[in-house]
Amino acid sequence: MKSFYSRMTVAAVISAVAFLVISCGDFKKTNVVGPPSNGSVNFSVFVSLGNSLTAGYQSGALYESAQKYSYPADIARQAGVPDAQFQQPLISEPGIGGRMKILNLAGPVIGSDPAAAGVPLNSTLARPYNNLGVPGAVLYDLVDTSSFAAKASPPRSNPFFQVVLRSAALGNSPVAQALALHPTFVTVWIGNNDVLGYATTGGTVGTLGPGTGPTDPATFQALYTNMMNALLAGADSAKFAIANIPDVTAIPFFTTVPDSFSDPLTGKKVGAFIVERHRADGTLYAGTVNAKTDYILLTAIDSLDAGVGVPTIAGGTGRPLPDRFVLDSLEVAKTRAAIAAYNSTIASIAAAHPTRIALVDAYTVLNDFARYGYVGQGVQLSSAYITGGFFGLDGVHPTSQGYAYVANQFINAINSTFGANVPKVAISSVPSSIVLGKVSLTKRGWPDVRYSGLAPTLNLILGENSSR
Amino acid sequence: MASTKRVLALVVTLLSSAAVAFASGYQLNEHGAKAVSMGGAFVARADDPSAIYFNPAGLSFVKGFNVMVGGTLILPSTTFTGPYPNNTETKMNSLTFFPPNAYVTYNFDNGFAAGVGVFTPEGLGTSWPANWVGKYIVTKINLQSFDINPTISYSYKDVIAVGVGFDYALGSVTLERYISTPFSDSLGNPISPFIHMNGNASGTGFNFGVMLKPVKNLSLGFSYRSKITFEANSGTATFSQAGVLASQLPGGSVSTSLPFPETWYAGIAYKGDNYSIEADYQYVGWSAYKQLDINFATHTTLQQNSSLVGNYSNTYLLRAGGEYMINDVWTARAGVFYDKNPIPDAYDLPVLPDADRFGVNVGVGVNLTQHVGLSASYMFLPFKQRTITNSVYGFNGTYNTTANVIGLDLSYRL
Repeated sequence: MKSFYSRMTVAAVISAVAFLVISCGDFKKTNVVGPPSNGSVNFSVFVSLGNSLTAGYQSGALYESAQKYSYPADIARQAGVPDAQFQQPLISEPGIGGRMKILNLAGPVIGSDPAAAGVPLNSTLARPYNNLGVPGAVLYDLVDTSSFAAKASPPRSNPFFQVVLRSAALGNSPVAQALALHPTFVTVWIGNNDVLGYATTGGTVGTLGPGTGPTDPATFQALYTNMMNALLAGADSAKFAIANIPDVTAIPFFTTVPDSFSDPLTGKKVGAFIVERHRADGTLYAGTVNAKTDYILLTAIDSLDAGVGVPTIAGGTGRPLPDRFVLDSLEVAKTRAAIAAYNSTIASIAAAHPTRIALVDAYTVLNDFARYGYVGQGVQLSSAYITGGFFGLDGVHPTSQGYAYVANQFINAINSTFGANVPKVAISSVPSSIVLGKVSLTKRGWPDVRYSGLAPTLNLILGENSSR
Repeated sequence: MASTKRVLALVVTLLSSAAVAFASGYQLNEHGAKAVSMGGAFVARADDPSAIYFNPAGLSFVKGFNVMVGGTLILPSTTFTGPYPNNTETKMNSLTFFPPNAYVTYNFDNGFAAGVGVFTPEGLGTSWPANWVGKYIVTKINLQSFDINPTISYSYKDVIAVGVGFDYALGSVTLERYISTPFSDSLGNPISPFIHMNGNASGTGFNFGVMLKPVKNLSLGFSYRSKITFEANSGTATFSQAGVLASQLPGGSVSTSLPFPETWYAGIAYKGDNYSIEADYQYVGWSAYKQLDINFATHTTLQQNSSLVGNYSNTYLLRAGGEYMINDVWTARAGVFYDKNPIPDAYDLPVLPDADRFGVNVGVGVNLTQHVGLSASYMFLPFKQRTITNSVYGFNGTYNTTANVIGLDLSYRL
C-alpha cells in the first residue's frame, strides 16, 4: 500500500505543479503596452511648419546629420512614415550657417566651420518639402508671400528661405506650400523668434528692428489665428499638433554666464559684474548685476574677457557691460509677458478645435526640463551649456538628443489627443552631436565662445541688425 | 585522496565557462542533480556527497568512500521589451552555462566523516547586443566563482549529527558597457567610449549544519552558510573608442567588492520504506548587497568612481520534493520550488534582470553497478513577467525569462 501512496504523491505533486504554472498568468508573456497605433491620425502626408527648431538647426548651422534627427523627422520615423514620404531640404556637412565646434575642452574653446560650407542635396524634389521649417522665420514669415530670394539679401541676409522654399511656383509662402501638399497631418511650432530676437539682444533689437520689442501680442493673435484658420480650412480633414513658446530664459544662452567674476586659477568668486540696467522710467544706469533677476548673455564673453563689466578689484576696466549683453529684470518681464500672451492665443486656438489640434505645452515641458533634467537608458541630459547634452553650442538650439526629447513631447500630445500609441524615441539610440576637437579640461568661470561664433545664429533671428 | 587533485584540476578547467544568475540575485543553488531533481529540498536528508553544500551534518550518514562529479547545464532565455512605453523587444544574447560540482567524502565509521567539495556558489552572466537600447547601462557582465569547502561531521548514535566547513571562494568579475557623452567627432559620429573592466577576486567564509532524527522515519535539518565578501582589488579598466577623450580616460587599476549573502536552510523530511518526501525553507540575506562600488586608482575629470545601486532585500525560497525507489536500480524524483527575488523594482536593471520564479523539477537515479551511480535532473524555470515603471535609471520596461536546466552527476562509492 505504501508504494501506492507514494506513487499517488508523486503524481499529485506533478499535476498540481503543471496546473499552477499553466493557470498562473503572471508567468505568461503578455503585452503590457498596447501595440503601436496611429489612432485617428493619418501620417501619410505629414508636413511640419516652423523655424530653426523645426528645421533641425543645431550649433549654429543646418546640416544633414542634424536634419536627420530634427524632431519632425523623429516623429515621422516613430509613426512609420517611409523616408521617401518625409522629404527634408538636406544640406551637406558641415552645413550652412557656420557649424560651431569645440576646438579644445580647456576653456572650452569654441570655433566654427565656414558659414557657407555645405550645399543643398535634395533641391530637385518636384514638390514642396515635408519639413518646411525655415531657420530664422518669425510668425509673419509663414504667411508672407514676398520673394524668398530677397530675404537672402540685407537686411534679412537669411539664405534659408531660398534653400527651404526654393520657388514660388511650389507655393508663395510656407503655409501655401504646406497646403499644396494636401497634408493629412501638420505640426506647427512658430513664434519663438518673435520674442527671441528681443531677448537675445538684451532687449535692444525687436522683431521690427532696433529699439522695438517682441511682436505685439495683438498682432501675434491676429496673424496666428488667421494662419491656423487657413490651415484648418485648407486641409479640412488633417490633424494638427501645435506647440507653444518656451520661456526663453530656460536656455543656456541666458543661463551660462555667471553673475560674478571668478579667479581662473582658484574658481573663487571675486566680485559681481557691473552692467547697464534700466530704471523704471526706461533710462540706463551702471549697476551691479542682480543675480536673481538679470541674465548675462552668452554673447558677452568677448567683452568680459576684455575686462568690460569686470570690477577693478578683479582686474577689470570697471566699465559696465553694455545693455545688449544683459537681459535685466524689466526686459525679462517684457519677454515673459509677450510669451504668456502668445501662449494664451495658441491655447485658445487648440481649445477651439479639440478633435483636430493637439497642444504641445513646450513652455511647461522645457521649464520642467531645466529644473529636473532627464535620465533615461543610461543617458543623462540637463540644460547646462556643453556638458548638459541637451543644447548645442549656440546655446539656443537643442542637440539631436535634445530634439528627440522634444519629439517625444509631440508624441505624448498626439497619443493623448488622438487615441494613438506612437512609440517614443529611445534617446540612447540617438547619436550625441556636439562636435569635439581635442580635449583638456580645466575650471573657469565661463566658456571661451566668441561672439563671431554666435553671430550667425543671431543674424538668422534678426538679420544683420544684431551685429555689433 | 590522490584523485582529489585531479578532480580539482578538472573543475578549474570547467569553471572558465561557469556562470549565470540562477537563483534570485546572483546565487546558484544547483550543486547536485539528486537534490535539484527534488526541488532542492534536501537539507533534512542530505544523503549523498553534495551534503557538503546542502548540510554538512549529512556527511555522517553517507557511508564509505565516495566521489561524485557532475555539473549543471543552464540554458536561459531573456527578453526585454521597452524602454516603456515602447514595444521594441530585445533578446539577450544566447548563453549557455555549465557550473560544475565535485565532492569527495570518507566516513570513518566511528561517527566522524570528512570531505571536500568544489562548486559554484554564485554566478551571473548577461550579454546584450552591442548596439542595444541599454548599451549605456550594460552590454556584458560575468561573475564567476568557485568555492573550495573542506568539511567534517560527527554523529551521535545516528540520532543527531553536526557538521562544519570552511569556505574559500575565488573567481572573477567582468563588466562591459558604453558611456554616454554629449560629444561627436567632426563627421557626426558620436563619441561613446566603451569600458571593459575585469578582475580576480577572493573571499572566505564558513558553514555548519545540524541533522536530527528524533523518531523513526522523521528527520529535521538545519544548515547555515556565512556571508562571503568577494574582494576584487587588482582589477583593470580599459577604455576603447574614446576618440579625443582618450587622454581623459586612461583606465588602469580598479577595485570593487561584492557580497555573497548569508544563507540558511531548514527542512523536515519523512522517509518511508521506498520513498521519502521533504519540505524546506531557505532564507537569503540579500540586504548585504547595497551597491557595487567601482573605484578607480587614477581619477580625471571624466574618470570618476561609480556605483551601481541595488538595495536588495532579504528573501526566501520554498522547496518541496520527494523520491520513489521503483526497484534496486531505478529511483524517480520530482519537486518544486518558489524563489522570491530580492531586487526592488526601482533597481531592477538589465545587468541582472530578476523576477520571482517557479521551478518544476523531475529526475532519475540509476545504480549502474554496485559502486557506480548516476543522477540526472531536469528543471523548467519560468520567471514571472516583470514590468518596471519606476526605474531610478530611467530604464522602464518588461522582462521575460525562462530557463531549462539539466543536471548530471556520476558517483563512485567504495
